[in-house]
Amino acid sequence: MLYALDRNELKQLRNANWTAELTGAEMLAAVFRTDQKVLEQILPDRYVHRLIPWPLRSSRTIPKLVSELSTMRLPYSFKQSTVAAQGCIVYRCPSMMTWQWLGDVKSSVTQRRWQNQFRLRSRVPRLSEAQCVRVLKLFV
Amino acid sequence: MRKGTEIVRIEVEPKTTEGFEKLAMTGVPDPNGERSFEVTAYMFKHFMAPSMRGFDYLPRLVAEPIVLRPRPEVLFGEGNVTLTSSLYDPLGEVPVVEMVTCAYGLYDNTMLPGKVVGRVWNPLAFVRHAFFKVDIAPAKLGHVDISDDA
Repeated sequence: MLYALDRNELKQLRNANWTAELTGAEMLAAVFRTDQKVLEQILPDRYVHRLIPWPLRSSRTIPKLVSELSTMRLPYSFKQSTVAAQGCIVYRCPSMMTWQWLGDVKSSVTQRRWQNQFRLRSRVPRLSEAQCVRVLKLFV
Repeated sequence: MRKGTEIVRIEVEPKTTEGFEKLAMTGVPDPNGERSFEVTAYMFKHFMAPSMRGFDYLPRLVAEPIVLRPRPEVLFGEGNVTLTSSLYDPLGEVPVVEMVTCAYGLYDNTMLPGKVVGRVWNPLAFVRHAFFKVDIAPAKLGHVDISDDA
């Protein structure tokens, strides 16, 4: 229990790298193409402002940030995207979610590389328009 | 089913084990050598205030990378999706123009840490679509046009 932890243990817990594991999830996924114009009405760009791409951290300069934003289409920017939006319904995922501690990133290089691999692949500027899959994920 | 209305109907005929190429997804091995796929899900995170007058915080658009590890028995096939609106769920607003593929099976998934990539600065416009958590707002706003053109 949390209150049984001392200060150092709490600090380690806060700095821990956790991921959610869903083992044996039974999923029925239906991927369909929907009308981009309709999505613009449902999720217009004016609803969502100040989009913050992941890799654009404080170390980047502002001109660099503006350049990256202007030269690429964000996958969740339905209005600007030239690729037809896709919808995806994931139905029935009853498996129990468990949290797996990946361990201290400093002591687990392999796990850190693995996680970074996916995190880097997930970053918006790495995706071309053709690769971007717009996912309107509706959990039922 | 939601309050007597079938808002989602999925009919699938699983036939083949090959189908990820239709989703433009290429597998990469995870540390255990298993084939895995990465999907970035974009979801709105929101929570209504206890007074039901607005949200506790501005709804956030969250990007969540998910690593999918389909088990060998995952089947793909053609299918149909029917989305229907109810008084509480304007789900039928999303048209199904063309089916891409359907998949059914067991997965071992990992949800990696996500990021907030945007915020909704107009919660009133968003509240109608917060129907999976709240019934009151969509019902009250169901016949109200809150667009700028109104």
